[in-house]
Amino acid sequence: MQIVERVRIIAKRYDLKRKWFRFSRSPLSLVGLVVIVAAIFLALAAPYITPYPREAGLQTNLQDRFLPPSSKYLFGTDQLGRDVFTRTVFGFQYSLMMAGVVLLLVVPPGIVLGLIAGYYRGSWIDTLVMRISDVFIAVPPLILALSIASVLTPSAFNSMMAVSLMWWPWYTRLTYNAASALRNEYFVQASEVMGENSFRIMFNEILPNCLGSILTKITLDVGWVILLGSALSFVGLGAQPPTPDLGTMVAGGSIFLPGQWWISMFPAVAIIVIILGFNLLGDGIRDIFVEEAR
Amino acid sequence: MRLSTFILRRTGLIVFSLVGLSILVFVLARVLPGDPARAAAGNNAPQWAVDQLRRQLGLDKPLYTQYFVWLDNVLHGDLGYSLTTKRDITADVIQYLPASLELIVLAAMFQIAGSFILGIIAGRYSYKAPDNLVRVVSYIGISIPAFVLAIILQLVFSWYFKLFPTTGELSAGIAGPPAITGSVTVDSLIAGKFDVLANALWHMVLPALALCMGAMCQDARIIRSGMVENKDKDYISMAKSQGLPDRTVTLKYLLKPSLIPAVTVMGLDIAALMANAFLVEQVFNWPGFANLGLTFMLNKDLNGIVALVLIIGIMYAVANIVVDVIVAYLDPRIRLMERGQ
Amino acid sequence: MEVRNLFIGFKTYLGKLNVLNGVDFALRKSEKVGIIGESGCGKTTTMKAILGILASNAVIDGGEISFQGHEMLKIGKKQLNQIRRKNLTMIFQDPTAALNPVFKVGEILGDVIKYSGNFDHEKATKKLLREKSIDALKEVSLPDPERVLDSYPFQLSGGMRQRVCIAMSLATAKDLLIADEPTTSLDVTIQDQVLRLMKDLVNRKNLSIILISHALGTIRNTVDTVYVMYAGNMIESSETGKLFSNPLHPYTQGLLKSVPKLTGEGFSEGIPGRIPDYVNPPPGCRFNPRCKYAMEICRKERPRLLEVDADNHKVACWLYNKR
Repeated sequence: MQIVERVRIIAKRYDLKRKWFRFSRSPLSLVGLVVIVAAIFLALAAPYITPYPREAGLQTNLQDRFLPPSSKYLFGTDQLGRDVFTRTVFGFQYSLMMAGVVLLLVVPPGIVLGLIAGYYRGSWIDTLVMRISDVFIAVPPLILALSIASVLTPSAFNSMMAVSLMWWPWYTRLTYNAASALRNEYFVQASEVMGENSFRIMFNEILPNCLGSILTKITLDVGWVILLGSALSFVGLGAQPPTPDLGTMVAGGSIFLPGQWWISMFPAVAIIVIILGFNLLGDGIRDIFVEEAR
Repeated sequence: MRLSTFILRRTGLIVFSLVGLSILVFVLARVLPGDPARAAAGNNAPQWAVDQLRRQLGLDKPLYTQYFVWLDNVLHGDLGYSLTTKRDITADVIQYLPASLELIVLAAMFQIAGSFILGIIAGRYSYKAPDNLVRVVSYIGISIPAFVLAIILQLVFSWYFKLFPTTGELSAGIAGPPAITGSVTVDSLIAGKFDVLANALWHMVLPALALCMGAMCQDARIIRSGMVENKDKDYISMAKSQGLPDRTVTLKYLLKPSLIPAVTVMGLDIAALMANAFLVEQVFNWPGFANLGLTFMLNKDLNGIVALVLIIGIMYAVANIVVDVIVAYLDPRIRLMERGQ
Repeated sequence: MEVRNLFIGFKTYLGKLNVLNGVDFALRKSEKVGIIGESGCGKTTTMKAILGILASNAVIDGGEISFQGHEMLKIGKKQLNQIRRKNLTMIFQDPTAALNPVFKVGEILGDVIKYSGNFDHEKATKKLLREKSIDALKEVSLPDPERVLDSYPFQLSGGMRQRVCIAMSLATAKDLLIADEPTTSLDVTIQDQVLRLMKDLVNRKNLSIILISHALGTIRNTVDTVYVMYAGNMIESSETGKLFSNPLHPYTQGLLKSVPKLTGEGFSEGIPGRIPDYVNPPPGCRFNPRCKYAMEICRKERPRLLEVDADNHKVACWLYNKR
């Protein structure tokens, strides 16, 4: 009973009921939500629900190579006899984890920098932070990622680092725009006049009002980061075999096209599904906040 | 601010970013663990050979000296020596860049035409069947990474339906035209060999589609939402109330303001095209610059990588200038902001 | 023109807004009619319905509009466009919004004249169109018409933009001009100028005019007949002078009492309550929740706009409509 009460209080505070109403109006957003929830579930439960979990790692099964999809191997087997279905599910796990790590690394510093730059708009902090961000943003993302990744030794970790290094300015720019607009609003000035600590103002007054666009961006970004990560792996600069990264799997299976199409195709479709899911979800979240702004 | 100032500032920023990027890449390459001279010479080379190579490549000099040496060379047209292709990178660029350019140009044409058609149809019939179809298709189109699309297109239309060739610029047995620009399409046009031109274009369709699909769908959505948003605006009601014909209202007065947000992202679209080339050229075995670039990257060919970043940067900067000019032409408010309101 | 029992609603995410609740309205040739009402009462919606330019989420739930013998809600696109070109025209409330911001004024005006159906499209050379455009701008007393034609809307002042819109509407001969709060978004000093310009043009060209405003003073000085609109219904109509001297409907009475008097006889009274929620409007007469004379029948059935005395004074109120 206590939990129910608490949930109710939280829902009221953040107006969750209305937000859900707006979100659920679009069937596509609901589809996105379902897809992502399913993906997260698969990712978490991967070792328990897949038939051949060890084949996501080093185990190979050389006598069962190149088998087409069947009831024993749902998505068939690859060139080393590993179950493609298992590896694809683990691929979900890996992609989501990678996106999570990258965003965790990127979002907090990005937002903090943007808040500071926006709050102290016009000062040297502003100029410094924004000029540096502009430099990163001016270069096309994939090119930037490739450049950085190319000088590092190809690995899953390094590709995550490369993407993180180039991704933070987008959050800084987003938060900066919102913060510098809100900075001169009366409620902020009122807090200042009352002698409120600057940092308190930034985090308690300004930040909550930026949350809408930030949350939308985070959701859409998961899709983008996964896309970028799989692209890097595809060209060989990311996760290396035998890591079950979806991009690496597509690349690995591409030499066997069109004959053993399943080795590439299922991971490819998995990539599409997961990105599509986050795009739909992100649009739904955007709808929640857009109407609020009106 | 004035248009020319605006464009100059933007260009300046891009140039600055690219210089910054080249420095970053330059520094990273030399600072990170791994000895490039050793990597180039191979693991079995004797130490003296590695040292000699290091001296030869100028890797023993301090970092900033190396950078300025490189910069000086670039300004004289010398992009350095590639240890992978074993020749001057400038020669590599001249050979491989035209092929990428023709792909990008064709992809850009597909993208503009496609996004217009899809966006206008969706906007005109908004919330009805054609619109819903376009929306679903664009959603999916945006969510497919270029390399996935490339493989799927190849699988379905090349392997399965046998409608298009699988790889390469020209079919086996067809002689290329005499090389003037290095671009097969342009050269065959100049030489008047239309059968070669046709064959080359046929080979370009699938890769170009893979390059532009994401951006095409994105732009279609922007155009569509622009049209839907502007449809109920007063100036459209006014135009209708004056009895202007439907076609004029839609294709002239509704389209132009709706296009502007789409054109604004065109610069980013071109960037996407260039970036996607890295993913697509490999799949179709296209002898282009991006394919070469990947080879550089995988082999840690530092000169190659830095030269690559530079070239792409310059192309991107030029493309942005062009796009900015087009946007200013379309939206007079940007052009004339210092006068009037 | 006659509007009979018009019902129009709008589909929104909040539900269906039943704005027009059976509008009755009539206008004779060369008549000058004004419509008064608060914001949101449906004045603009009625006018847009006449011209066929309702928003895409609008639904016509019933009623008819006839103009010069044509059933406006039923005729085909081609005929409708003909009428828009030759007989009917509208001036919008916000001239900034009414002019397409990315086209030069000359371009828009040129197109309006070109397609006005007064000559063959082919024969409409650029030169001819430009001449006619300049003539149209001169008629609305715009100085330096050449420069105006080559300008974008944002380069002109508010008053100039409204004149441009008037010029567009009257560039070719029309029978009826609908002016939707034409001066509301202008400076007070400009308002007077523009109004006088309009009166002058209306008289010279012998136009019928429907003038919408929520400024009682403007209406009083300009039109012969006044309709009062409330929450989607015409609730009273009469000759201008008669309405101001002898308002019959409780709403009209309240409205006129709300205007503070210059002689300063105490505070003006407002009308208690608010305009109804169009998603769930009150049944019967929509004014009944706020009306001090409300009777049982007011809550059940909507009164129609019927003549009270022989002098063409109509009211939609159970106080006067004998059952």
